[in-house]
This record gives sequence, structure tokens and C-alpha cells, in this order.
Amino acid sequence: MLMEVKNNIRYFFNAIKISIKSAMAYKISFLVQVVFMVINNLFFLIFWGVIFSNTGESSGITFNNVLYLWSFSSMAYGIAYFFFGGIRKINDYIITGSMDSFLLQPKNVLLNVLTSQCSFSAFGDILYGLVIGIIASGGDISKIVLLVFLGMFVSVFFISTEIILRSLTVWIGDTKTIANRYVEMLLLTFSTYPENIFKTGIKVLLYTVIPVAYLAYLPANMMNNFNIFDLICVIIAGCIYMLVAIFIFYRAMKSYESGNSIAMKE
Amino acid sequence: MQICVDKLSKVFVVKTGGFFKTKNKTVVKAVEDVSFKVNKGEIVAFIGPNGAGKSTTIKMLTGIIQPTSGSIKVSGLIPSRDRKKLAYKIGCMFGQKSQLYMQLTVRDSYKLLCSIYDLDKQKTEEKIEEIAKLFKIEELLDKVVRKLSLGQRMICEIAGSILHDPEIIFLDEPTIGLDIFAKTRIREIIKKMNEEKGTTIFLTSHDIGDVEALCNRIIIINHGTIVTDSTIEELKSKYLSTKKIRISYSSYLRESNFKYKVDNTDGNQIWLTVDTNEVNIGKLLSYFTSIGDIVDIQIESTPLEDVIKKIYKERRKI
Repeated sequence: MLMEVKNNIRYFFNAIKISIKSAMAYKISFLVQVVFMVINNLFFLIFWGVIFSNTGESSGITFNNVLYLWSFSSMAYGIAYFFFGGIRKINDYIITGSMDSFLLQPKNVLLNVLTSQCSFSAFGDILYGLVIGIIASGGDISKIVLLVFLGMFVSVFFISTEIILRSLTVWIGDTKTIANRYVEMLLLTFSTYPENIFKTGIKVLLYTVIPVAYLAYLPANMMNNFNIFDLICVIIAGCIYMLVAIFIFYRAMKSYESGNSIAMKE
Repeated sequence: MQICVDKLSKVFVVKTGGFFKTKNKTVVKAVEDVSFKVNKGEIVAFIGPNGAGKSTTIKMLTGIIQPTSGSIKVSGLIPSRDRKKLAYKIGCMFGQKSQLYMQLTVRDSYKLLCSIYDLDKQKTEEKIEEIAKLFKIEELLDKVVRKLSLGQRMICEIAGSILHDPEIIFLDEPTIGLDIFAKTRIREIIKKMNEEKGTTIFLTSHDIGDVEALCNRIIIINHGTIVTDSTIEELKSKYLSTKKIRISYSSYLRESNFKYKVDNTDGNQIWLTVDTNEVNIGKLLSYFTSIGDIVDIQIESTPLEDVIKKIYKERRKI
């Protein structure tokens, strides 16, 4: 058992190393994508800066809070797609029958799939999230430690959501568009606006089916007013989402019917 | 017994109908009541036309998909239940899919494969060198996979599938799309693996050349059921009694009403097909010698390819 865990950890780091090495085959493309992702995100922050300079801050809606929201959503997004870029390929692997090669290996299929790819631009998101988070914390070491821990942990919401939505491909056909729209339109959009601007009805959604509250709102609040209850909520929600994702993925694998299209790993 | 398959079936449900219409469910039997056994060290060809159920059977044998009914044991394990344990004992190479990483060198791809099979750093290096020597691919190790020719990639794929010393190798179309030189090379390698390591080979191919060059046993599947399971020799003796004969004469033949049924004649030559179980070949040749001055006789057995075509058409169950 202990040996299996050790071997899995060794494989996990090897797979990530190889996946990054594979992405780095195109160094220029990698650097350009990273830089453009940082610039792209910076524009949103400038936009918020202009709004606050004209309207001023109100309780709960502060520039500092917005910085943290952006920090967590960017870091979580970046970690999810840089280290576990394979989540975006689950639907493709199912449709083309490429899941076969993962099922033939004596390793955890989900871990194998998640680490099978690396998104270049997501590295820019990690950098950007970390830098604005450090700026928002004012250099406070304890806050930076909390920022890094929460940033890493809340990536579980992006990972789980992608796993759940893309695994549905087995039963309802290609869910690529649904998954892309869900992540971009719901998770990313809601997580970069302060919680206080939404009314109760939407808030219920943001604390349940769209896990934005745990992904960004609670962590951002904790950075200025640390609350153990909020931390426990975030951890429990993360574990529930991950367990649901694992359950759905393996149910999907039981119904997986493979395919015969010509395909190569990238 | 390394592979034991009993009454194996796989059914797919296909839904048809429009968005607003009630969907009809069609049950497609991809594999139906398939049973066979494979002994250690055998090289078995599992062949059939497209859609016959070959790949579906292999996918059930390797644990990729779950059977609808029936039982499978591979190396004493049940693939659908013991997928991870089985993965250490089998190697797979699907001609249409790659297990190597396109952007990485062959060596890096092998390193990752070795870590998948829990080989430590030193063993990994040793294994890569050993396999490279066996397959004569030392010069390909540091090439990026996407820059390899198809033949080179196929050889590297097969090499990659045995890094963990599997007991059984499943090869699905290992020579697909290759030229004659690459095919010959791959056949030599497969034969070598079987002879030197005693590896059991379970192979599917549309190339009868692969079957003739490698296999001692052939299982033919069509429409999801097994139609033939015999040795190549049995198959040949059963179906190769039909001979194609061409007789050439020195001059134009006046005779046109032959005692034996001929397929074609142009006056100087006669083509005929005979079944040696029904026709006495000696008497037949005596007759054709008596009607003219023979300058050449050519007797050909039916190619194995034609035999298999004939079996495909028979669609009978054993």
C-alpha cells in the first residue's frame, strides 16, 4: 500500500515534469502565451482601478478585495490547467478512444489523464495571481502563506468541475462547449466580481452548484478576516466536489465504449 | 492456459431518432458467445473483416471495456476487475494509436513508461539500453517522436510495449500502413520476442502476410462470432485442396469440348480450377497430355487470402 502511494507520487512528479518538458518544446510560443495572459489579466484590474477611482470603495467592495478575488481565481485556474491540463482533454479522450492508453496502464487512470497535458498560458495566470495576491497582502508573510495554501487548494473546484462536465461526454455526447462555457462564463466571471453585488437568489447558486463562493469569496474574505469556520467550509466543499468528480469519472469509465479513430498523445 | 475466454458477449445500445422524436434503441451485438483458449508461448492470429469484433474482443481482454456477459481470464486475472494488476503482465500496441509522446524524444517517452511500471532509475536506464539493442533502435532513442517515420515509430511503439517484460502482448494491426521493408522488420522483431522471451502474442491484422509469417494458429471472427479456430496447417489442408492449373500447348488446340470443365481458353492455353478431393489429378493430366503437345504446366494452390475470404463469406458458426 505504502509502496503503491510512493510509486504513484513518483509517477505524478515524473508525468508533470514530462508534460512541462513537452510544452516547452515550443519555448517562444510558451513565453508569448505567458506574457499575453498576464497583460490580458492586467487590463481587467486597470478597469477595476478606474471604477474605484470614480465611484470610491464601499463596505465589502474594496479594491483590495477585488485584488484577492483575481488572485485566487487566477492562481486556481493556472494551477488547474498548468499542472493538470489533461482535464480539458477528457471529452476528446472519450470520443476518440484515446482513453484506451490510460486504461492499459497500471496507474490511477484519473491522475494519468489529468497530468497528460500542460497548458502554457496557465503559467501566466499562476504568476499573475501570485503577484497581485502578494501586492494585496502588503508583504505580510503569514498572509502570503495563507494565500499560497488557499490558492493551491481552491484549484480543486476548477479541476472537479471540468472532470464532472467532461466525463458526461460518455452519456450525452461531446460536452466540450458546455464545459468551456461553464468555466469561462460562470466560474471565472462570477469569481472576479465581489460577492456583495449579487442578490440572495444568485448567492444560493454561488454557494451550491457554481462553487464560486468557496473558490474565491470565502478565501478573499479570509485574507483580511481569517475565520476557521470559513476555512473548514472551503475544505469540506472542496473534498465533496472532488469526491463527486472522482465518482462520476469512474462511472463514466465503466460505460466507456472506446473507439478506433487514429490519435496521438500531444 | 494464458488466455481463457468463455461465452464472451458485448452488446452496444445505439440510440437513433431526432431531437424531438422518441429515440429508438437498437441493440448491436459486437461480440456474441465467443470462446477460445490460448497457451503460453503461442502466436495467435485473431483476424476478421472490419467490424467483425476483433478490437472489441481485445479491448475486453485487456480490461479497457467491460463485457456484457461471459468470462475472461488473462494470466489468471479477470481484466474488468484486476485492470491494474493485469497491466503489469500484458503489453499492448494498437497500430492506430500511440503510447509515445509526440513532442518528446523516444528515450523520454520510455522513461515515463518505465515510471508507469514502477521501474527505478537504474533499471530504467538498463531496460532502455537492452530494448534498444534488441530492436536495433539505438540511433532513434534521442529523436523526437513526431520526427520519426511511420515504420520507425511502429518499431519504437512495440519496443515501448515490452519495457516491463509482459507475459502476453496484444498487437492490433502492428504493420498497418507500412512498406514491405518495415513490415518484414516488425515481423522479425515479433518472432524474436516470442522465441527469446517466450512471450505469448495475440495479433490482429488485415495483412495475411503477417499471419503466414508469424502465426501457428488462426482464429477467424466474423459478425461477432468465431467461424474458424485451427492451426494454419489444418486450415491449409482443409481449404487448399482447390488448385488453379494453367496448361500451355506448343500449337493451337482443335479440341473445344473438354472432358473437364475449364475456366478459360485462348486456343494455346487452358485455365482450370479443380478440387483434388473430387478429381484425380493424374488422370486429369493424362487427358490434357493426350490432346496436345504440352510446353508448360503451372499448378497453384489457392492463396491463404482467398481461403480467408471464402471463410468470411461462409458466415458459419463452429
